[in-house]
Amino acid sequence: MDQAALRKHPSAEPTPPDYSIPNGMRREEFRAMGTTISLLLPESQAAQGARIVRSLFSEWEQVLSRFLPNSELSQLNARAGTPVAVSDLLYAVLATALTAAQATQGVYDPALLDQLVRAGYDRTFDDLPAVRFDPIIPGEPGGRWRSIKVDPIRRRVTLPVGIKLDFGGIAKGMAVDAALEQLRQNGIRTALVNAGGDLAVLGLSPDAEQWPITVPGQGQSWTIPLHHGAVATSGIARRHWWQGNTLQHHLLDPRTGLPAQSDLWSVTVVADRCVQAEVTAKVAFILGSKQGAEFLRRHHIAGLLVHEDGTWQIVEPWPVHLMKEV
Amino acid sequence: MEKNPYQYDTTVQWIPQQNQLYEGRYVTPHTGQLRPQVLQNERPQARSGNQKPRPPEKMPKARALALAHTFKKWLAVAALISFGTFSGLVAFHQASITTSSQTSQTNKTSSGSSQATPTTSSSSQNSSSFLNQQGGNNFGSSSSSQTPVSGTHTS
Repeated sequence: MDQAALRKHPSAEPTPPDYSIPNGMRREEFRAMGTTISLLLPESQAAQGARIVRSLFSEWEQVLSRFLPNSELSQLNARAGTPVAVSDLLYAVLATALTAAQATQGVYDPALLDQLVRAGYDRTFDDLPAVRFDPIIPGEPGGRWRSIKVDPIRRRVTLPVGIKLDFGGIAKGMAVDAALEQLRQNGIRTALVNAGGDLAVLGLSPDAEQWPITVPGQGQSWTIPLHHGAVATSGIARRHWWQGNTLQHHLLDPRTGLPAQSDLWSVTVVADRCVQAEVTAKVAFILGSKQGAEFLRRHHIAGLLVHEDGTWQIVEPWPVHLMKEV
Repeated sequence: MEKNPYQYDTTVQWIPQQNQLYEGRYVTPHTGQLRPQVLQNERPQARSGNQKPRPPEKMPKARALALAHTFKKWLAVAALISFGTFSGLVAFHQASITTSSQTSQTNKTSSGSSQATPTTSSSSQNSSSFLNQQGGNNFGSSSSSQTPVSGTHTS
């Protein structure tokens, strides 16, 4: 790993390349969920669409952010051990997270917040110093999501004492899917929603057969033609920090409760829905190049796995013949 | 002359299962003999020629009322049990749907304003289908000459 490069760019958002705007469309941007939300919408419906998506992300953040002490998630985390009635939104995200954990045999684990905080990620990433000097605390394996009690009739959730939930990525992926669904319900037939790299598309822009999307490698990037569905990337290029001389990052391995010791730099996945892309990219990264590729192959999910040394491999049906270096 | 019990009738093939239905007739495996299927009401009744059938005795009214009362009581109990069972099954089914299939579909409120409240849907995923792809790939068919319109990066 290029440690000098990591130290040099500890927290900067990647500089966006010069993205074009398809004919008849407009780009809208705002900040939410600790990242930039970028939209492409039909010009005539851009204001309406942006209002819908902004409102959705704002509401989701108020409910699901672990950094807001008054968010519903923070309240739930603070009341572990007692049954808590939760909103439909929190319930739906929790149920999806538990389903994802089950579907990935626990490699995706939504109940690792304590471990994440112990690893140093105890504030928003924008506020996180590049280097910390706190002592490293040993990790505690995850898997306790299995003990979460859910009453689907009365919408009550009981967290076991000692565990806390963090919906970070999965909430973003679900919000992207929900935003597109809401745009569709409001009569908008063409849109792209990108929440900090987790993106999904609806329809096709006028006069276009596909959405040209950039995907990152290490020190290079490509364009791929996305026709429908979603793209997400998991990796350590951005959300990492140093604790003394140890590189820490936010992708925890539930088997150890510590940042995953992966031989990968990043995994980009294309799937039908953004929540699937988000979860599978993270799981493939944690599993590493061999098992991660097998996992994607088993589920027929296209992926680009970039190794630490900059080399890469693909999992079909990734369109390697259509990749165009930017 | 008594028949040797170990001499099998070979007209019907032995089937190694008790009372297996064989072309509509039952076959006993030990003897291999056909056992004609005789219904109760086809059995010959031993009845003398001059004996008339006795008319059925009339049930006393009190007895009939008591029976009717008992029947109604059990009917009410059965209805209650059925209702309880049905309600339980509905509730269990609802629970199964909500735990195993969640989606982030959004609703519009009746006033038409947008609301970010997800609803549960039975058409969504359970753990085994969470990762399912609808089939086909999600990519365009040609290498695009356009500049990119957006991009993914590590989140």
